[in-house]
Amino acid sequence: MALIGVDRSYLSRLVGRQLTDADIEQAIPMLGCPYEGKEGSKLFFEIFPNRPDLLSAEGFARALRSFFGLGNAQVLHAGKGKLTVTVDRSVAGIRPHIACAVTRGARLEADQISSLIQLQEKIDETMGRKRKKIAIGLHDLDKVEAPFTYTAVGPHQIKFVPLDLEESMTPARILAEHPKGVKYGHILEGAAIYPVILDRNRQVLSLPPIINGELTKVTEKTKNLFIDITGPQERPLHEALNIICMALAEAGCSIETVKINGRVSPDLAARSMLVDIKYANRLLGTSLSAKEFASLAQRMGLAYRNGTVAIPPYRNDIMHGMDVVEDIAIAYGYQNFVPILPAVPTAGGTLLDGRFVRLCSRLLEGSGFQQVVTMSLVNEEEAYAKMGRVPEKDACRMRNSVSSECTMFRTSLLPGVLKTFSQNKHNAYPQKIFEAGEVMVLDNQAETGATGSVKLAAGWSDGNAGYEKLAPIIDSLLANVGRGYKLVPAEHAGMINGRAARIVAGTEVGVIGEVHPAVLEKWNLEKPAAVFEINLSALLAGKRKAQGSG
Amino acid sequence: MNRGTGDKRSGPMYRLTEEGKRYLENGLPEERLMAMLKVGKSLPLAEAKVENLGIALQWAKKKGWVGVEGGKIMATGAVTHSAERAALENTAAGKPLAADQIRLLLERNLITERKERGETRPAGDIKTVTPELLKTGQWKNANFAPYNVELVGEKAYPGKPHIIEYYKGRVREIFVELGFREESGPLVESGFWNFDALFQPQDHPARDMADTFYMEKPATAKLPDKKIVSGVKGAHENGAGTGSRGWRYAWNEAIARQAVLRTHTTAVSARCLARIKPPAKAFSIGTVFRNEAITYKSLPQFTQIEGIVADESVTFRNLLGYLKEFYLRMGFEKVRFRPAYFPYTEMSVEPEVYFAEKGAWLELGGSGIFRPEVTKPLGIEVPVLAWGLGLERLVMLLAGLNDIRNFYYRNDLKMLREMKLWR
Repeated sequence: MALIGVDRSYLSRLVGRQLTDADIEQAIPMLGCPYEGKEGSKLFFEIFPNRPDLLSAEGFARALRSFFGLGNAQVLHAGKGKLTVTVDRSVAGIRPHIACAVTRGARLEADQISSLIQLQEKIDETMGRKRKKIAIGLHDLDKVEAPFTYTAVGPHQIKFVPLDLEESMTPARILAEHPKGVKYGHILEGAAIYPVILDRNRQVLSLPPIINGELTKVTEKTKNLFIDITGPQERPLHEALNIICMALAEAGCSIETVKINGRVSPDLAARSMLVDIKYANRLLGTSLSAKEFASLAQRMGLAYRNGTVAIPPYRNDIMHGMDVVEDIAIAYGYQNFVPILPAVPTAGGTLLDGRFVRLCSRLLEGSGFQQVVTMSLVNEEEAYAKMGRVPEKDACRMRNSVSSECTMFRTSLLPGVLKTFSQNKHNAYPQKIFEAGEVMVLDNQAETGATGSVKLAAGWSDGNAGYEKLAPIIDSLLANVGRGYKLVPAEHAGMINGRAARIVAGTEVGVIGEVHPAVLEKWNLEKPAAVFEINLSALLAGKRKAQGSG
Repeated sequence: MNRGTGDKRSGPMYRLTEEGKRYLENGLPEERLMAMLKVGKSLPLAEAKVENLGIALQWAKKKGWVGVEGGKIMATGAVTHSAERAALENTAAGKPLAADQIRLLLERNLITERKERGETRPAGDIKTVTPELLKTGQWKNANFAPYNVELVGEKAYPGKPHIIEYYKGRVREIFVELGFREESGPLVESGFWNFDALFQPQDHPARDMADTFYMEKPATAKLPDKKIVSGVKGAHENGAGTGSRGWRYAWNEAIARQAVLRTHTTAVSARCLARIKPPAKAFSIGTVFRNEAITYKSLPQFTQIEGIVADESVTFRNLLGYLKEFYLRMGFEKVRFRPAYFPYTEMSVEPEVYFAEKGAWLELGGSGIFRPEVTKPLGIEVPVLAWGLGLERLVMLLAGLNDIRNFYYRNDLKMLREMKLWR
């Protein structure tokens, strides 16, 4: 989520009218920019990832002017410039592409500089994927001398003063010591040479994607700007460049092209897309005329004429006619659509497995058991160590969990039952609880490498809880679902020997027993407990099979 | 259990439990803790050698007698007696108890109701209606001893569903009422169904390790049949026949094979689209996972309510119509719609409901019309309305809970037993 902060009076000045509270709190969110509050004169808006063109006060104002009907957005234009940039082959293996532009006539005030820096940083972070895909540099053009070269140098081959420092450093030292070097250095990991932008006197403009030189720092005295954008793929660089050029044009600069190895950059021409009004009306449930459609398009900064929409060069989010239709819907106002239920004749239904699980749950409820719902994600400590069990080989494990409490998908609900008892020692006894929930095991035959099934576990804890309290519950449960069964004496880790059994209904479907005091102690429990767990999916599958063969 | 009579002659109805007797004799744990503390001077927890320190602290904090900070206990003022003490003394002396005293002591299991019938019933009256009484007809001349019918006595805790399951049931009913068929899908899911089939580019921030649980075991999943895979690949790379220009990058099959815990039930809808023939309406209610820390407002797992409507005739207004109808049936009269963004829908909408008790609009999920880049590779040529709505926040509103850990992470039985299900 990208949040931008814009100064209220600067934004008002750009929009061309004093923004009211209603504009800010009600109208702007309906453009798709939720208002997130303010700090002093700074207003905060959330910008969705499809609209990086709104990440500056200038781009935001451009959209608002159209949206509020305060006049058409100026068509962007880049004048022909003389500056050339040569891309040396040495960058090919590191960060091969660069897009550039020049802007002239800036009279940058503090508001504008901070807005531009915010734009640069937000693009770097969002569309730029933390500078990996896109890294932007803004430079005071008059501090250096054209032509420029985008080339690569050895780690100790060159020295320059990085932005906001006074000391001259080599690229190697910047990567090792400078905060930006430490933060973004991984992008250049493994490279033997580093990309730099040099002027004709081999003065360093930038060490992309790490840091600019102090030499070309943008200040309130800066009049002419050089913009460089570097990255591994060319297209996204131009998309970002167009957004920056648009913001600078809004700030009053004129844009000038640069020749990069002979290719002209930027290309600010609008693209056109065919959009059928009938398609839009059918999708929206409206009956807009061409005239209405055109005027709604205009409010989104788009121009509609004779079945074609002209899309400004900074709106790369528009991939399909449907994206234009969404803009039309936003201009129309979501609040103005009248909700209506259609007649789509279909029959409803529920899942058989779910019905079976719910029936079993109702039987447990009827026996006085309170349903609990515990975490599906557990850790080995709870799943095994505290249960007196050895870890299983077929558990599903996550590899990047931020919480040490969630490292694997549960294979049994019993730890959850005991955990619930341990969390409820202060509450009234007897405690009779059950859970019906999904467990998971590895299965290399399965499409996703794992198979889930639904288990039902119940526990009874009280001063006199024991096997004999739970056995009748199993008996009634299986009788109600029409399954014959046997309780077969069995040793079970974590249960008292001689007081545990396998539940066998055709195949083994579960286990019942008294929890071993050693396990009770691990959970810090002071009252005895009996538990059972039964695999409802296996029970249901077995029942179907029995019916099939019978 | 028995009811006492309302007769003044009857004896006391409560007696001390073993614990109650001990507390009366030795002091309540919190009283004994307070005796160790000096006003204005803190005591390290480790030095508070009181039996049942946990209980003592819990009650002392609840009563506002102490504060605990940095492992130290600090008394907030001098304490002379507790309400429980007076009530315990009254019980021991056989004096009547006030209603709040009864509640206080019952809650802490310090008193229990007298079970002895004889004590509370005047002699000569019929106390129990026995089969014998009915058979012999003696009841005709009987004088039935009256009960104190205002007394409820011990609390009854019926076995009942967990509140989230109760509401899942209501949601299921609503969608079935509206003609939707239930669907489900795997919790361990392939990146393909969770992301790629939903037109999320492979370098999309939502696929970052930060938000998604990636699996160590199983590390990879199988991809569906070639036709679907190549359709999805084409949609990402150049729009391939969907009318879109696509994301324009080289799509990588290996990334799509990564196994994840599904981050949304929209993965179920994607699988469903590959299966159904319009007209179709489907829903699913299921657990989804996000790699987040456990706090009062975030859990690594929660429940989503997913729905799709696929039909030639459906429109954006119909999407709003279904959402409005759903929330209306859930008890929210006011619903509004805000623009939103999801990579897989256009006319992306966040529905919000007005919660009168808080005087606020609350955003509860996402919705939209699936992009053709999603539907066409899965063989669907008609518009598909879709939504994925959160359930926990809705239930929190309806049940007045403000800590999401009350779901899954904690199962406080007192809360669950006393939780109101009908609103």
